[in-house]
Amino acid sequence: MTDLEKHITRMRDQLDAAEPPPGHMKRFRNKLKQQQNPVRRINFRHALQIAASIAIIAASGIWIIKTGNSGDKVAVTNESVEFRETNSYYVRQVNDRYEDIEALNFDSEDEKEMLLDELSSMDQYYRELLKELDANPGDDRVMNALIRHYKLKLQVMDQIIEQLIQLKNINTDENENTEI
Amino acid sequence: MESDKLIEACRREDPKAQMEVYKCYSKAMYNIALRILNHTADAEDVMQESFLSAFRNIHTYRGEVTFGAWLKKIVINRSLDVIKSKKAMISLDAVSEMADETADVEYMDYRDIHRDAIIGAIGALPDGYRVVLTLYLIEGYDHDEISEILHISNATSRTQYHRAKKQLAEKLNELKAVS
Repeated sequence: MTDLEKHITRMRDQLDAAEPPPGHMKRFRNKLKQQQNPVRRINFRHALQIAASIAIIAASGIWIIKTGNSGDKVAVTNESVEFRETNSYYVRQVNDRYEDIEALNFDSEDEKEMLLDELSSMDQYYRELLKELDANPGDDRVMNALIRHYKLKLQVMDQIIEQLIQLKNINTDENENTEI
Repeated sequence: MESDKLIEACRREDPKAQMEVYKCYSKAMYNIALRILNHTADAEDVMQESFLSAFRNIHTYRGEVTFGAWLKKIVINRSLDVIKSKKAMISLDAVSEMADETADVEYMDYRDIHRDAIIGAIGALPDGYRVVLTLYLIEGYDHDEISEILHISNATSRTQYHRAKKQLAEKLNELKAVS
């Protein structure tokens, strides 16, 4: 290593000298808001995406109705330890499915990103619930609603994975046919 | 510990945590993008888009590297996409085929050179040289990693780096001669 390289390596921390242009924080906050409340895209190119988004919208719909009328309680105790375990079980389940989706081959990264965006739009209610739970720790109604959310999200994700696999099989079949 | 909690909150798409993470890393990420792109507005854009993409895809972050390192890779890849789309960057492989015109350069004592002079001299390098030099010397990637990022061979990365370093020394020597 020459002295020049050593000198530059030593002053590495000082090299991040430029400040982002003024107002960048505000611009980013706006972009972040836009990302979290995206304008619904209607012109999906892919039948799969239509199916997936319908499933998600339907699921969120059912979910809203269910929470709106949360008189019936699923068996959740308000033991917070037990709830935490249940919660982390579902978080794991959801993450496993994300991994499954990640592992599938998409035609393009864009399609994959769109699908993941759709899925994360479901999480808006989830975030509200978490806030609610923060405000009312141990509230059975909120915990039950959270679990219902997880169950629905898992259902939707399973459905999507199933469709993706089917689609993949169709494509493989087609490829095999063309080769013959 | 504190930053782990922030990342966990980002997984839940907590906007406050996301802004907090942005505050922590935006300056460093901006500088990385700026060194590659040499253009302030593009650098801000790339930096912010990288954060948005990172938050969207945070479930793919498994914590194998630090969050900063993960984010940095996104910033670098996006910066390179922009540079490729904007200017037809001379193919790095093509450059390495060119005859090595530059004679040997004398390396002087650079310890008294101010950081601004170094930043300026790096910024004045041609795109291809600047990118390789920045990735190797400043961002700390090795030639294997650079060859992967830039889709060039390990040998090309080494040659490019060697020439970039020489050109940088020449520029700094000129500065020293003036002062």
